[in-house]
Amino acid sequence: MKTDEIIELLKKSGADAWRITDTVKKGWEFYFIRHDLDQNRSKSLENILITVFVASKDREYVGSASAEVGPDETKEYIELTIKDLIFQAGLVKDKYYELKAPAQDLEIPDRDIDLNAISADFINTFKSIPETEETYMNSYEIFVSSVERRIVTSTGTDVTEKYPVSLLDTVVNAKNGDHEIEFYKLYDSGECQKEALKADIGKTMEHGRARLRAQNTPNLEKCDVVFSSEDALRIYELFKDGLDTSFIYMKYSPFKKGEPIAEDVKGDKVTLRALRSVEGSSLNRVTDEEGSPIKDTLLMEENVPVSFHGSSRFSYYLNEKDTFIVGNYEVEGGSYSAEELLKGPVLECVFFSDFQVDTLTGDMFGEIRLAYLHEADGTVRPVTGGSVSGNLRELISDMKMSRERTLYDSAIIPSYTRIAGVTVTGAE
Amino acid sequence: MKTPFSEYLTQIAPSVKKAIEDLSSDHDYVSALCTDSKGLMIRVGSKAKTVSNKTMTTERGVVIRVCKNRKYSEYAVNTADWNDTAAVIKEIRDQLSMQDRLLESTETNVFETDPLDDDPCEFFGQKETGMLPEEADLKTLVNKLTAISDKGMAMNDKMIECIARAQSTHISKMFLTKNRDLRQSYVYSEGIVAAVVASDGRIKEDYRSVSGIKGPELFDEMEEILPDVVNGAAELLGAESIEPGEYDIITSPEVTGLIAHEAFGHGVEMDMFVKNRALGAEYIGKRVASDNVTMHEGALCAEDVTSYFFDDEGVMAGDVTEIENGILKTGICDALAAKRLGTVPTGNGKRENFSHKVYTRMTNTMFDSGTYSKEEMISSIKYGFLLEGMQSGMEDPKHWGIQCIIQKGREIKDGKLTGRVVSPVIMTGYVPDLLGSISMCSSDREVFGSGGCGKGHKEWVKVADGGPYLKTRGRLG
Repeated sequence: MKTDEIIELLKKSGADAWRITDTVKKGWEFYFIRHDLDQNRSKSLENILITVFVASKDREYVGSASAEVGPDETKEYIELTIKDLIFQAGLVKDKYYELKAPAQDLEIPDRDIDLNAISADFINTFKSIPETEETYMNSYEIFVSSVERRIVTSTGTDVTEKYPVSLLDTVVNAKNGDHEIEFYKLYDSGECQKEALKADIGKTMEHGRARLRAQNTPNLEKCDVVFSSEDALRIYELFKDGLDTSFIYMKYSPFKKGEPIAEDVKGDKVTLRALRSVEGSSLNRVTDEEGSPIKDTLLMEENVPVSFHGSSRFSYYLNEKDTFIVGNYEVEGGSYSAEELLKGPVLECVFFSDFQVDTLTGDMFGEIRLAYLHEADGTVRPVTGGSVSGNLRELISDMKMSRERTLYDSAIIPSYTRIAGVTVTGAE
Repeated sequence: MKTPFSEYLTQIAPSVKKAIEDLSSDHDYVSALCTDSKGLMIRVGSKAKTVSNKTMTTERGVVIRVCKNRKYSEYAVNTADWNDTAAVIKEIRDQLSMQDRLLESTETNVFETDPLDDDPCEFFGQKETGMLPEEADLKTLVNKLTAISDKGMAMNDKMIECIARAQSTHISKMFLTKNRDLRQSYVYSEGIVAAVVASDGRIKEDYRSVSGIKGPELFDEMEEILPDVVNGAAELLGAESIEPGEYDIITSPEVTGLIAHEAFGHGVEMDMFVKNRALGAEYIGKRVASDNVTMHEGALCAEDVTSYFFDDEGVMAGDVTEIENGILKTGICDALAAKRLGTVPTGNGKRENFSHKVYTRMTNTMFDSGTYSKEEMISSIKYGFLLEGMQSGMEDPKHWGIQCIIQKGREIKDGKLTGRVVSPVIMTGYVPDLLGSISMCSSDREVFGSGGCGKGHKEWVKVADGGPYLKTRGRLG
């Protein structure tokens, strides 16, 4: 059933409010083992998400229920689904909230997305990566999509955006005789960022060579750790999530507007800004997933929350206007040079098995696949194994950031982030 | 009752078969996986509730796989009008031709592979269920979960949220080739209760889960786990950091399952052998663990969320003995990887959903039980920790490194639990060292199916894992 027909059914349904998100995705995929094609795939998908809202008469409560339906469902099925959703939403009694009014004067770019051309760019880029007997591409997977998303609400929003989304799954190997290691990495982007991709894979190959000669990480107990790869994104997500209206409302975040988030700060303070567009980002949109317009917005300045962001529901609860769900963001550079931050003794971690920061508890942890141990005398040696851990909430008062920044798809963050007092469990 | 098979799939089967017939005229192998899985998800917290028909595995669509001149291609679609099969066939041919022209223009070589086997087989399997998610009494379920959340909030004054989440999925899948017609339907469900507590600026969270090849009747079991969840979360507020080091440890069945999954689940997925990404390939027939270790993998070796009749490539489910008394016997394998390696598939070819590629994936990954009681194992430890609750894991199949994020460790001193709790705990190390030092296994075992598993950081599928309590030695931080 066509989206417009579903919209007509929703209008007549008796629901107090509704939202429909129709996502049409055309995708091409290419899988390689070394540089030989494992298989190629094509897909044509459409998913329609219907959400209905039912409010109590006194507007004390509202409930919502949602259903995803395919494009080939019959009118009878959709009618029944909407009826079920209204019943289900009536069972949910959440504090009252409303959908936003439609945004005015949105300028949606008209984009022509050529899956063939983007795919060719990626395939040719991988073919052009310099390899040696020591370092090479073990395998890679290329996912290229053209997504057209239409969001329509009962309050008058009707916005359609078309955008490219690409994902790469890469495995770089390094070997020395029988000793062989791998580094696994995912890259998100809009279209093919050829030069950035080649440069990053080249850097990964350098790290691969270093790991071949890495020794076991010593037991350093508490020490300074520098995060100089995309794993540092997890650190800044603690700040970003802490400013989310859902975290504030649920009391998961202690952040308050106008009050510093940490006391006795010895290092740099964080300034964080939401951005509508970042060159090459996979998240460049005019509106968020609820149809709210995305604007460049200062969220935190020098460790002091300025604005919150998040879904319309929790923003309504906090009486926050003009909010949206953040996609792209940037963190301003700090006051240090890379050289200053890498001055030993410090452990510079560049690859983890899976570095995580729990933005609810602040706990962070990751097994070290490769780090560089910078000694006080200036010597540097690669180490592997062991782990880093600690609670980031307790450590952010002594965090230093480089002036230099790096773009990782949708986020621009300091290239080097140094945190004191991290627990390093060795592998010796 | 027997889980009904999708009427939609029954209806489109003749058209899909027609497409297979047509494509077979100029392809060496053609198959179709058709899916129609309905679901139910209810999440109740004290401040926000959600009801949806979407779970991790709800889907509807068709993926056609073809092999021509030893090259494999796929076309996945949910926008097709199967009443107009000719148009669907034309679209498949057009899309794959466009990709072929691109591959030709980029001078791409093909990793050539023989056509898959297509031995004749007909199968229709329906598992028993007490209830269907699409027919569940939503009002009763929402009230039940609300009562759990409310009760949890009242159990401790440090609680800031208590979430009860229940989801149930009615799976229908049909696998067709020229010679095979396999159809299956079953229902699996899972329930999670999570508690969030806060005190003195610290926030901690704990959870427990239930899962099984059952309908929404499973959610009756959720209230029983509530006290453990709330007490467990409150306990974390007083937890200390662990002194990094190597310790004697006892892993609870949930942590045992995490080790099984990360160590010799991912480590022996044989599509990784094809890419030369797994050290396991060199260790078949060799010792990788102590004599006390026997490990199984397969949809048949436990009844939980991923215990299907056949996999997404139409290979019947299996039960593979991966490790027997410490010796690595074999890995698990999807059909395409098996063809490339000259071995047989094990029923482990899985897709995130119909629109994703098949990889070798886990189903139920289980350590076998031993002969000891948990109490005997604790009393054997001079100083160490009993590890409970899993958060996440990651493996390095090329280097056999392992990372397990564990909720908490209970201190053991002179054979007794002291009451001291450390949290969180990160266990890292070299898999053969960890498994090589397993010295005791308990006589019981449990299976857990509430989690998901990624291949790297994507391709999420349902898996289950577990086993007994294990005594071993590990590096904790």
